[in-house]
Amino acid sequence: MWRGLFAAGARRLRPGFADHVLRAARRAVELPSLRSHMVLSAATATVCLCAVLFLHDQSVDRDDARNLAEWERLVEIVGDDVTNV
Amino acid sequence: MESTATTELTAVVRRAQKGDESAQKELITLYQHRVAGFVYAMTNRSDYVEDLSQQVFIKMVRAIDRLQAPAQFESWLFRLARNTCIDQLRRQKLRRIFLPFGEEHENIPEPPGAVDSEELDALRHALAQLRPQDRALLALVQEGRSHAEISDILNISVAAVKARLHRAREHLREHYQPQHED
Repeated sequence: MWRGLFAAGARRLRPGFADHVLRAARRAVELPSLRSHMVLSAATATVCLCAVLFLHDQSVDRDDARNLAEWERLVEIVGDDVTNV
Repeated sequence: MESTATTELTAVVRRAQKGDESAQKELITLYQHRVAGFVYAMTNRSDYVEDLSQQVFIKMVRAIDRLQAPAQFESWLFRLARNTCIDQLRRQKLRRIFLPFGEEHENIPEPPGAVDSEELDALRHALAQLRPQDRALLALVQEGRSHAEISDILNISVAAVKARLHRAREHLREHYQPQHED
């Protein structure tokens, strides 16, 4: 009976199955693997994060410089007013 | 001492490990019917046989260079086959949870000629009532794997193999009912 079951399964294979498998295996090797997809995704995410941090850093520096200039201008105005009084 | 057949098989496996396509084809041709039979016994679906057998052999071709003991090739191949079938059955179960398919979509009747006899049909029906792990165990025994090899494939002790095999046979006997016995 088991032999009959195994034989019924074996009959489901088309002739030339081995060649078909080898062709499919070659195609599968050419396609990027899940691992390479993950590595590429991680690398892209890292580059994006670095870019965001760099731009954020630049923006903070620019804001700091502008605030400092504003304060210096205010100090000058206040200093002039005090001198005039 | 290794038999001549085992030595020859080991030599073919070593050639396949080096990327020799004729050796890989030889291995596929040598085992395709046994793997297809095993897949059928595991999944009980004749329409899965070719696709799953192909997946098993693609995995074999891609991973054979990592097989450390070429003499263990058969056990390794049937471990691949078992895992591929169990993954497929898990996916099928998940699909049943997430997709509003009726049971009739999963239990497609076998095409004419796929089932040979009432006994075979009864065996398929009985196997379908067992857990995939138990089906794998019974199919591996029928495939000619020893208890030691099965313990290696399933990563359990030989004693556990014997106990689970005993239970699986009991369950199979409970569910096996050829129509002429009714």
